[in-house]
Amino acid sequence: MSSLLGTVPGNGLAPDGSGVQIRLLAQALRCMEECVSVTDVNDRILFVNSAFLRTYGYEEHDLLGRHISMVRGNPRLEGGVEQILTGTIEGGWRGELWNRKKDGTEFPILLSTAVVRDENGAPMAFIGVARDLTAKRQAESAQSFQTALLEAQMETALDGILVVDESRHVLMTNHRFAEMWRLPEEVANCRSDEQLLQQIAEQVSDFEAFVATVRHLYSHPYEKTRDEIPFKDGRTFERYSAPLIDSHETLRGRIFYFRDISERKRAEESVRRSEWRYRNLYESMMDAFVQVDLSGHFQEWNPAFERLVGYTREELSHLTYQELTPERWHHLEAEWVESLVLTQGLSDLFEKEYRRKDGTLVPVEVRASLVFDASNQAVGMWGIVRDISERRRLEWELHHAQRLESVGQLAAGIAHEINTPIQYVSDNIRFLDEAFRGLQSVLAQYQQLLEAAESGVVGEGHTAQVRRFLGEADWEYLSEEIPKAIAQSMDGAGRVATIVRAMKEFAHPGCKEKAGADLNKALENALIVCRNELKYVADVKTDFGTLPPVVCNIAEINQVFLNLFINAAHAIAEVVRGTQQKGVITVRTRLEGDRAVIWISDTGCGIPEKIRLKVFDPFFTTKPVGRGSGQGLAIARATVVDQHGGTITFEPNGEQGTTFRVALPLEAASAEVNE
Amino acid sequence: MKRILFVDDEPELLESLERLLHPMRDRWEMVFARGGVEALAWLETKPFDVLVTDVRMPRLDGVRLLRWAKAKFPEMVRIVLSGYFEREMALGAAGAAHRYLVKPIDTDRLREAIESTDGNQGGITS
Repeated sequence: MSSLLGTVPGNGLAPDGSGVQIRLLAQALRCMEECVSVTDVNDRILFVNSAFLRTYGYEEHDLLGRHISMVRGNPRLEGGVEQILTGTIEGGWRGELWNRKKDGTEFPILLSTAVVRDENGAPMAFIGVARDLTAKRQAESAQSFQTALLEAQMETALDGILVVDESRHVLMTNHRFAEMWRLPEEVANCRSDEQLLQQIAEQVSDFEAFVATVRHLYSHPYEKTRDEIPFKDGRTFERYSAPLIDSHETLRGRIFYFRDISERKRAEESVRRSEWRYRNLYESMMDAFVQVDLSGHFQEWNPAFERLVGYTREELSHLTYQELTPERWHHLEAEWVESLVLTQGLSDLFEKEYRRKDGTLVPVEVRASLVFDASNQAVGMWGIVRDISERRRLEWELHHAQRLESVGQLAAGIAHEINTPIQYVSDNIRFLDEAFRGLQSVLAQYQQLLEAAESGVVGEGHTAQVRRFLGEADWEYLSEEIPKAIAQSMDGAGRVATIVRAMKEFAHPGCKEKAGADLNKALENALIVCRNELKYVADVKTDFGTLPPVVCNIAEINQVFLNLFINAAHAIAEVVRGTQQKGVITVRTRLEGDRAVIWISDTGCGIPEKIRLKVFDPFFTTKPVGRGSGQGLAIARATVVDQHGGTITFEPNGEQGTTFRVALPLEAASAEVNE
Repeated sequence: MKRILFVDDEPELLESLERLLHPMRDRWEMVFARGGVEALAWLETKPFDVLVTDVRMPRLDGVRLLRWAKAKFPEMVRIVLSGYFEREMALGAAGAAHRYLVKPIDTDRLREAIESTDGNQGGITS
């Protein structure tokens, strides 16, 4: 080997050999990482370095003098191994192929060859320098797997992905990116950030902002961002970007993810809108909404409730609904909650009152429902509370109007009732006046007779004069009629007084409190007050049982009686009109248990089957315009049932007409309605 | 002697009227009927020159009585004598009565009304 090396031409070494230099060279070859082999022209191995031996797994003596083919595996070399020789002879060959180790394993190498020529230029040896590519190939394979994985990921990703390097060149995009941004293929494949931006500019709602963000990101390369990009066509992308940093902590660019969140946005928007609608309704609705727990503490409420009760949010959070409810409702409300809400889960309308912070009462209408938690346990109630003071006011006004209407109607009738005695009283007084004048002239004759008698001369003429005047004055008649006229006048004055007293008792002006009342007396008064409405069509029969005082608002109850009497009269008028008949109104009272019961029967036209359900409805009337407001029975019902806890019913009489039955508890049961 | 039928459903009114008109007994033959039905019976029984009636009465009111009388005895003087003026009744009586008198009325005016009214003239106009 040293001889061979010693023959290397033009290598700067003396042919006669400088041992030192050769040893140096040999030492250098040994130190090389690459595997170095030297073969003769017949491909016999002349030299291998230590890296060769180490890599191929041979001892030096295994190889020296042997054919180099023993380390060749299946070269897997396109174009065949012959090219190596020809290439080498032409000056050198470089390429990758596979070799075989002593243990038979094949491995890839990068081979560089050179030829050594003699002084005539004829090849005398070949030098091969091989680098083991196993590690590199492994790395490459791993990398290609990584790449394949990455690409698969990218292509299957639902997000559009864009990767740019630090100098804003596009490194990668996936199809989804092109699809999402609606990029033509040439733009998608171009590597220019600028072109992309142009394409994008057309689509986003606010291009300025979009570009500003991009610029910001380039000047802050380490920032991670997440934002949303609204589109002109209504779509929305979510953009997520992060710096691309390799394992050496070197910044390599930036990766962008774009996710189409339009659907989510739409869903969010619709939820938001519905939430807004609900909230808006909740906040702005006139009816109050309130939720309480089972002990009655306020949990949640809307501004309408605060307005209704006049408490602040803070104050309400420490209060219960019971505390805002006047005492007299407590029992009734508890009963109501017990019987309806807790058993049925939902209540009917319930009317009660709240006491406002300023102490005033507000009538309300409540509809409540149970609230359940996730495990279906009742945890409270919610209710819709409506302020009905306006309705109450209207009802009161209507009530009042109806009263005025009947008072107006009555006024004429009462005027007639008073007018009749006034007439005969005044006629009688006129008669008495004339009678007195007649008697005065008779008395004058008596005076003369008296004077004549005193003077002792009573002539025939005197007594004749007296007789004549007595006859002229019709004394016989007068002596009979004057006492009658006086008695009748006194009786007439008494009749007027009775009517006036009945009216006064009937109207009970200003009386709103409930107190014990004699219902028989009340019925009598009502009959007097409306006598003029009744007497032309009906005779009245009364059959009053003994009644203890009934606790009631007598002015209201009187109104009920009056309405029933007038209705009875109207019903009878329908029947007797045009005949020479009169009907009968029968009024009967009895005590039944703890109730006073009043029956008012008429022999009138009766109530047709088809309207029986409607007679207590407000404004329902069969009477001609101007005859009745249709409020009478509705108010009667409200008074008897709502105000007094009684009942009012009716049924047809056996042969003709209708009987109304009013039953009132002796002690007021129902809470009094605030007016 | 004028034959006059007075009609009213209120007995006290009728009696006091009778007393008041007592001085007229020499000139008038007066009958006092309590209500329309009784008046009808009198009218069927004997002739009258003048009918003086109240309007609002049960069973047979003044308007019906006047109409009936007008049809049966067109010559008769028909006068309403009422405690008050009632538009509805006045209109109803309009074609059937010659005069509509409202109390209080003194004897002289009543006498004048009864004596001066000519049964041949038409009904009152309201």
